[in-house]
Amino acid sequence: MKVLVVDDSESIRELVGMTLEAEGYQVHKSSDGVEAMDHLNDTDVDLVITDLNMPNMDGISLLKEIRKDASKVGLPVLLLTTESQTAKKEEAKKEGATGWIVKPFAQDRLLSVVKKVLR
Amino acid sequence: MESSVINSQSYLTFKLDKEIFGSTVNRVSEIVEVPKITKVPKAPEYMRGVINLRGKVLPVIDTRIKFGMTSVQDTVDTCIVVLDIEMEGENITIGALVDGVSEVLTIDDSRIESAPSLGNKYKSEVIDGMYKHDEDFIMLLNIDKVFSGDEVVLLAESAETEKNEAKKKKNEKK
Amino acid sequence: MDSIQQIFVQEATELLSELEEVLLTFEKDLTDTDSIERIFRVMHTLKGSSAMFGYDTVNNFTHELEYIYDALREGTLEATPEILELTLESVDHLKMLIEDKESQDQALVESQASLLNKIKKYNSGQGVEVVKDKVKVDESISTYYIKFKPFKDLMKNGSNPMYLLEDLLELGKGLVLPELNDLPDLEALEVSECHISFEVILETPRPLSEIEDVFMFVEDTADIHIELIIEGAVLNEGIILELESKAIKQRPFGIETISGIIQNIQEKEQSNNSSKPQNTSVASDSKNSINSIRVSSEKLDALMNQISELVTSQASLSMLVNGLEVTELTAITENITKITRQLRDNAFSICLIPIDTLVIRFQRLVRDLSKDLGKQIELVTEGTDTELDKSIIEKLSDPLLHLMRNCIDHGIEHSDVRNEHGKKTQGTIKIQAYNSGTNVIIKISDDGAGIDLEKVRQRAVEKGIITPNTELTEQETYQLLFKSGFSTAVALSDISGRGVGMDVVKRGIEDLQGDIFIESEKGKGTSFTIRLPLTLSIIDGLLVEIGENTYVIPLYLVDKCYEIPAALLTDVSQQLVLDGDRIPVFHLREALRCANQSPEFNQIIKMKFQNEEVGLSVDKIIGEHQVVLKPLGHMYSEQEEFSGATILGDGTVALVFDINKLLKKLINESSNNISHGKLSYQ
Repeated sequence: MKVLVVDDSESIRELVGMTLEAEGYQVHKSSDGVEAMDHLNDTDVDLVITDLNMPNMDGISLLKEIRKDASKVGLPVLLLTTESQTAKKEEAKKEGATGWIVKPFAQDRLLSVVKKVLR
Repeated sequence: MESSVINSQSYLTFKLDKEIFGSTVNRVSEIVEVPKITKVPKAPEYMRGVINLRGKVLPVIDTRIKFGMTSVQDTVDTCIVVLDIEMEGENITIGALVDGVSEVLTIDDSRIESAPSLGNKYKSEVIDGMYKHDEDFIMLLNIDKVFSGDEVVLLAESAETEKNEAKKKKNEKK
Repeated sequence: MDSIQQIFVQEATELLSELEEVLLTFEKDLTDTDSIERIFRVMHTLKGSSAMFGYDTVNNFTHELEYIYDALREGTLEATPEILELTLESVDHLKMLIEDKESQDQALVESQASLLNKIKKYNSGQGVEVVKDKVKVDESISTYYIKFKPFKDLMKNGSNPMYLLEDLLELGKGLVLPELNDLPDLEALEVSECHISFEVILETPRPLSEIEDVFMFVEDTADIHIELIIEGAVLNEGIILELESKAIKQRPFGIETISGIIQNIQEKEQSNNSSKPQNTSVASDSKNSINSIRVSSEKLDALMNQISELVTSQASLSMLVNGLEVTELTAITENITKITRQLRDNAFSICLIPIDTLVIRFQRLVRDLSKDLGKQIELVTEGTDTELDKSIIEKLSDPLLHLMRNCIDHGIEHSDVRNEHGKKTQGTIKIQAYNSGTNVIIKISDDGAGIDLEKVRQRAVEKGIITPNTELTEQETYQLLFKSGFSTAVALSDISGRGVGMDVVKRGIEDLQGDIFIESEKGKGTSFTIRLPLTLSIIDGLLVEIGENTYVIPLYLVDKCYEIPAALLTDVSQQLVLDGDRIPVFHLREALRCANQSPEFNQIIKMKFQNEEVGLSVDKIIGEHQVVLKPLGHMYSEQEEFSGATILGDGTVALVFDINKLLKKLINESSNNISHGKLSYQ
């Protein structure tokens, strides 16, 4: 199972990556939406986990791009965010986000959500 | 040389003048022919210069001079033994110019005799032991101690020592 | 985990310096909304990652600080210099917090409390209602009503309602009221179907969205209804008892019934009023575009190494092909040469970073130090987007900081003194940077008091560096400042000196193959001009032959070459007249003790050293050569006159001169024999 982790914070990227890798997931990393789209156009993944707040292309825009793309139909997208952002969440839901993980999260919570999506 | 742990070791033997020396193969990374050596001016006499070892600059030590022997013209047998040594806590790579390499011997630790402290012309700390091979005595060297010190001379109490000591002092003054 | 923690620490440090940088921009225009957005975004990122890595203090602190900038964004608070000052102080504090994860340092704990107090003043002040409410939301508990009615086939998708309830109860304290009305008779019961629904009363400090998160994946396979009952905690024993004692047949109660029951019981007790929570959107889409990726410097170093080997191999190839005269091969080789050069230039430019990265620190230094000293100083920068190799920038920081401290501490006078002399009240320090050939020039100048030549002289005589009769030019006198042992007031001052003298500055710059000059006018100001090579790893060199060896002289030093008969060169050092000027010339054949026969004609290479002209004689000039510098290694650490070696096209090794150190050695060695006048004091 391949997971693309998108976050401008390297430490979070590494942490999420390490957590998933320990469970046998293959992890790819990008530091913003633009890079993530480039990556997605090259490589198929099974899940995208993205931060909301990023330079260049933020999480919501990335989500929109993915949903617009016919070749990526059904690709689950989980959003990472620092706190409850109701307005953002509504927008994300509307744009077709699969789920939502609130930072800070425990590593097992992350895993349980990912497992729910990639069962 | 922890004999309690290892029972036998391999040694590369090489010739200098009429003597045969051995170095543990663990420290030998390769043996190369002598390319053009660039001498670094004003360096100690035993520092023969630097060579290009696949893109890296490698210092070459004239082992004869280091051992207090007279330097001779290189022959077809002359070669450079590339050694990894520890110097002041750092691992560095050097080339040791020798008259020729002979063979690799596997020597049982129990057959290594300690070097006699009397009558030996080399300082005892640079010799780990002696090994009798056929008719020859092979001196097994402590590679780190031999090459990391900046002393020019290893010979003890010989005329050549004094000569070289004098030379060294002269160098220092400059 | 530890290594990721390190990544976090590095990242946090970078975020903080970014913050510092933006804050300094912000300082110039407190209405700049772009700056506010950027500050907010950086704080937000820091907050998020610090929470992930257990830096709770950092998280909490940033959290509070962020509110101020949220209010600034919203326009409910106006930016003032006080806020800026407070934020800068906070950034300093955060830097220390990052280093002190466990909050061991008592002093830090205290300064944290005092800073938080100041921050909270803004967060609870007039006109920042939004902010105030948000603080409350985060601290307070709310009680929610949750109706969860799974569809029959919920379990077929692998979900388990019991797990979801467990997740829910992890958020706080809750009461689960199952409802079994739809449960069929035992015979008809299909184990894979779900017939139970639940009502949950949940008290939680967590936001509504987290409750919704729990049901995120069952939204399509269950009826879910979540509603706020009341702000505050209500689940006391009375209410639980009342609800549980109601007949199970009356369920589901619905939110009205439950609210009614709660209200009834609460009326009996004393009720607390709380304000209604307000959810405010926090995230912002930053328009700040940084089109870059991060690469570890080890990878860059590896890349540079490989490219240097490529450059060397390519040189060998070219040499080989030149001798062959095969047209096709020559064409291909020329192409490879071109690509190699481009590749090298590209890789090289990757390693270049702008001097700006240093300047941020200086701005801070000027600001803080001038405040401490009660001076008014403005820092002006020019051309600081000029780039230098990253390894040079790293090593340049300390010497430059030292020079800056000097300007602030000793250069610029106090306002009253400046006024007396009819100068502008505010002093100016200027940093200018520009490219000059293969060099970068950095000039630091102030409009302060200037250097008192006579004082410098006196001091040098006192210290025994020169004799009272020594005749020195102006520049030579300034250079005395760089002599070790020339401990002026500068070095004694806590601010500029920190026990370090100007000699360290000079040594630092010379280690980078650069040099430094001083110009000063009493009463008008002082300037330090630093000349540095663009890079240390690849240099343009002049290939020369001396004795049996080939050597490299850095090309940027070379001024002009002259051919003279070898017979004119009689000594290691002597004076020769070239182009009508008498200059000291060093005979390198002699200096390097070459044994072979000298050619009939020698070449003199004229260059500048310490602003004076000197000549070096060599046997032969071979030509220009791109040189990849390799270390000579430990064994040759005594041979300081060589900065390294390089591998030539034919595979042999050439030594590269460190001209600065070579000339110093030569001058020292010859000073016993012949006086070189001008240069002898060196």
